[in-house]
Amino acid sequence: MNSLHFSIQNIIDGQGIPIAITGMLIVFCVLALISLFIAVLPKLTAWLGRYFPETEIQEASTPQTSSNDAVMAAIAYVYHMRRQEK
Amino acid sequence: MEILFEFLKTTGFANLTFGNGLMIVIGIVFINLAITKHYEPLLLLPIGFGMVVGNIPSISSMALGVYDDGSVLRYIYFGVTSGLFPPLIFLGIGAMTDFSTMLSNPKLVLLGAAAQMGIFLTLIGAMYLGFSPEEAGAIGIIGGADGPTAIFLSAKLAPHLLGAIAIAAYSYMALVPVIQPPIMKLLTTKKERLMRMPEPRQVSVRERIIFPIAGFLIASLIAPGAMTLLGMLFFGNLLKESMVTDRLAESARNALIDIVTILLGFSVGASTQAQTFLNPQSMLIFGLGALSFSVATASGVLFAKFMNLFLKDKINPLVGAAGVSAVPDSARVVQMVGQEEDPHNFLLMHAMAPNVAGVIGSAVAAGILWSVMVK
Repeated sequence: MNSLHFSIQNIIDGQGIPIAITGMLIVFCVLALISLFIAVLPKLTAWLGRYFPETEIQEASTPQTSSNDAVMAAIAYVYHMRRQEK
Repeated sequence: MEILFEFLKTTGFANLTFGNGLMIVIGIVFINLAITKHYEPLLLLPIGFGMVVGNIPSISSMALGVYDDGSVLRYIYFGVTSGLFPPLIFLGIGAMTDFSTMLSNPKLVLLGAAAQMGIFLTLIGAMYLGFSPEEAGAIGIIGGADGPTAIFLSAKLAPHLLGAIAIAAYSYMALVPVIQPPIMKLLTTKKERLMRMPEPRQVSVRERIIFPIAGFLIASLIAPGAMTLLGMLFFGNLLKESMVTDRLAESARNALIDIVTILLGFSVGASTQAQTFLNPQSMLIFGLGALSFSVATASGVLFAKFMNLFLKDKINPLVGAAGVSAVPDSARVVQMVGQEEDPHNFLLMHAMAPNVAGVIGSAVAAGILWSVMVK
């Protein structure tokens, strides 16, 4: 930018409106496809589950939550609810 | 005695300009906001101190400043100008992001797309003001409310505006709790703000593992320009969700992102030397950034209201404001504004869905702008 020059012509010359419309369309397209994929994901995982049961993965890899963590979570929840009531 | 006089000529006091002094004061204000108001302290404090450092007048014969060849600060700043730091930050963000809320309510993803409207409307506004298309693209991305993405794109399209764009992006991210609530309240009724949303469903481990791979493929095959940012984001998330690389995920979301944030914040701050930063362009960039951010917030809220025309399970329109990708601040603001009306309405988990979708959306928008405008 060399100097301030306010003009609609700048937008026309720079193809501002086509870029903006195309850009928005592509962003919507990508996120709509991701949204659709997420919507079918439970069905996909259910289908996969018939051949590769998920429990095996979880048992092998999920870290065990210690009883201390569970107690801390319960205390935090009660404390939070008490504060909400005040 | 002559040596003493020669030395005195080189001191900062002798060479300090009004602009340098002003930038040092702004830097101190940033530090103060970070410490007393807790506005994005992890970013504002390094940036603020970097601004103070960058505005100490350097000696012409010595390589000291960010713009001096061979200076240490220049080597650090290379991570910014080369676009190296933003993807590393995305890796860390990916390793700390839980996509579960988004996976449990896919329609909220669209709010992350609607909020990117601010980017493209600001692009048009910046062109109107006389910025070149490349500069306009880099300025528009401020509306994504995503500092690393803004830095990444401006490093590619308009490196000379990088300092101003980075400072504007991070300033507005820090001011999310100030900028967003009035817009959200203006565009919603009390009844809408009171709306409750159903509990999100439980998401299986397998869904959380498949998503980063599939999400990356969908986004990057359509917009390859977003490959670097999204690749790192989803890779980081896979490290977390796979649960077999806990050490790597831990490093990415703690040590790595912290180190990069320090270096990025400090060097961006140091790049705001008054001689290069204080000009009408920077002021315009700040103005356009505010516009971009406000439009993005309004777009998200209005799109949520539009979606409600067709949905059986209505969305609380406040959640739309979280479509700007200031994670997790804008989601927290949604929770805060919602609880002002009903203290027992918990919108945070719902707001996280458009929030993380907004991160993907702004990275895709950056990829599109980069691929359209690169020559």
